[in-house]
Amino acid sequence: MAGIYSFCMLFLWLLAVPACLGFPFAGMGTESGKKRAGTALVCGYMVMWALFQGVALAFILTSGSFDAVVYGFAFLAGTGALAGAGWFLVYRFKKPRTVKAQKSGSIPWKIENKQERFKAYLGLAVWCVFIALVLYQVIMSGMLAFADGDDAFYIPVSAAAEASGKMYRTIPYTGESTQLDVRHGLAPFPVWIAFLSRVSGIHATILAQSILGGVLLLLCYLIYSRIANLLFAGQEEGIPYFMLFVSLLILFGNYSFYTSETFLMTRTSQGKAVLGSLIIPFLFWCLLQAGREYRKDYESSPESKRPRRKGGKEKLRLGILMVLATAASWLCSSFGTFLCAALIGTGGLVISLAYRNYRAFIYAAVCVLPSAFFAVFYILLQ
Amino acid sequence: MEKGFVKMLEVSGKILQIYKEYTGTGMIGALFLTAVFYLLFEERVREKKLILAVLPLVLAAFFACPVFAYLISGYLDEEIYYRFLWLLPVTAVIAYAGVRVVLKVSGIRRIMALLGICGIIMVCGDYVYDNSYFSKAENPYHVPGTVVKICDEIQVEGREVRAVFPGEMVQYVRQYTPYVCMPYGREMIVERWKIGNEMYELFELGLPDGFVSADKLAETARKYEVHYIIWDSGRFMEGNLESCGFRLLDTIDGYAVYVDEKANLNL
Repeated sequence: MAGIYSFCMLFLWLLAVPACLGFPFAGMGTESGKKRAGTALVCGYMVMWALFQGVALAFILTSGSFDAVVYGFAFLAGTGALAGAGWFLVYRFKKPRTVKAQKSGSIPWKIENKQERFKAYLGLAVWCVFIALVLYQVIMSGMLAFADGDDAFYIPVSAAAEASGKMYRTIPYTGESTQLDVRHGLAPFPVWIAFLSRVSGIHATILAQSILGGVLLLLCYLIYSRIANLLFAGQEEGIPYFMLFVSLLILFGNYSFYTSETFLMTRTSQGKAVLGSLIIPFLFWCLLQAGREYRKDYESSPESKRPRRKGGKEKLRLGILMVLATAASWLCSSFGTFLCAALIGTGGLVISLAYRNYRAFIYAAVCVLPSAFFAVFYILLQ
Repeated sequence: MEKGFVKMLEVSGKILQIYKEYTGTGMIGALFLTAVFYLLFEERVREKKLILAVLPLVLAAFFACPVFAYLISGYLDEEIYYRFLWLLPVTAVIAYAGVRVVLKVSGIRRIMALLGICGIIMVCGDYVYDNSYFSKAENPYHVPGTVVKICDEIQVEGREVRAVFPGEMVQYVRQYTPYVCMPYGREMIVERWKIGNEMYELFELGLPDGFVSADKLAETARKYEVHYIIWDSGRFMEGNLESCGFRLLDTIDGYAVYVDEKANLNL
């Protein structure tokens, strides 16, 4: 019975809540604005982590209790998720009912053209290999233990917060009481794991070592699939090949101890791994979209580069998403503040120079502004 | 002026060192660079060229710039500067360029191109599960079974206990349970951190005599309010802890578990 309860709670907090929170962004990345569950989920994770960062930080800095974080976040995220679910229902209700067209074009054995049929069969085979590789990685993440010294710091933070109700008030290595550890307290990813532990009743260490590894790996591939959808829009046959290469590059990414791929495979549930393998690729997905929007502005009026009316709304949503992703990066690592700001800022600079449009740089600067404030806050607290 | 130049040279050397350590054999780095230049000349969609080819080059230039690195090191730990390289979308760029090559051909040549690129990735990269730090997990905690057994043995319900563990175990103890505290933890094991601790120096290094004497160990353990001593039975100790007020509770997988009889643990 306890197992079913734990499973339901993990389903709720790792799938349902983020998917509902991300529903307002579900149409991003597609030209048609068609809403996709996968997009809602990855965007929802950024919303959820940003929200958690806000709540946890408020209570950590004011010496609040872990219980307050649990109730505060559960209330805010729950309310947000309900609003997202309501939005989804209204969308489904309002959307004109259409009979789904049979996608016979993508079913290999229904294709008459021999060459096209061959391509479709090859694509299907590549999808199968990719899925097998991902399943292998997910299973291995639970079956294999990696002796990483940093786990001796992060996991006890989760376990101690859950057990004692105090956050960053003990030395994780020894358990001795101490002053607030500001440096690590500003990036409380382990507290998010403690939250999941509290709501699911599963020991924080089991969650971090045996369960979250697989979940975060799948989320990483979901983010790469969003990038693939964007890169191969109108040429979908490239998507399975892209995903296969990505899975191999991750599986064979251990060419040094320091790569983001190594971090993803060996320290999956540490904030640093999430930053390098989830949030940064997510920001690349956002930057690709921003680049597309500014190209459209450029093409619609090459002289004035005035933003298109429709593009403004899209850019606003994209900007909000980038700010949320940067806030999520603060949760993962204090260095994330700098990395994400550098990425968005440089991306904005490159786009603005390419299209000779200063608005792109201002847009990026506005997105980076919260990170700049957070960085100042971090330096002042040190 | 000259001092500044020397400083920049020094920083440049460090950057090169970080880059070398990050890229390992350098083959994936070379593959990435090839993919970037391929996209730079082949890609027609502007935002893809900008974000996947131009942006990584600009970011790489920032990383390699000693002035930039010097300014950053003023605020951030030098040790983590390598993470700036995470901003290079190595995976996405190589995969995208690879797919562009595959899509250029059809029929059996497409299968060959696909297999060829898979082979190149596998040869240039390094299989992650070959890493010697991986081992079969003994339990869902991914903590050695011996640590689990010892912690279960010494835990007292409703309170924290303090125990001194051998160095090979310290990083796992508090992952398994926050109710077992230690006089020192992993911070002592990492040599470059250079933190001193009398208990560690005696227990692990046998300082200052070169061996551990039971009298001195018992005395120091009490000074650090340690309730339990976990001692590798195969290791030499001068004297006997049992004659110093410690009782042998159990021997687990070759580790003797001693409890201080004077400790008020309500056992």
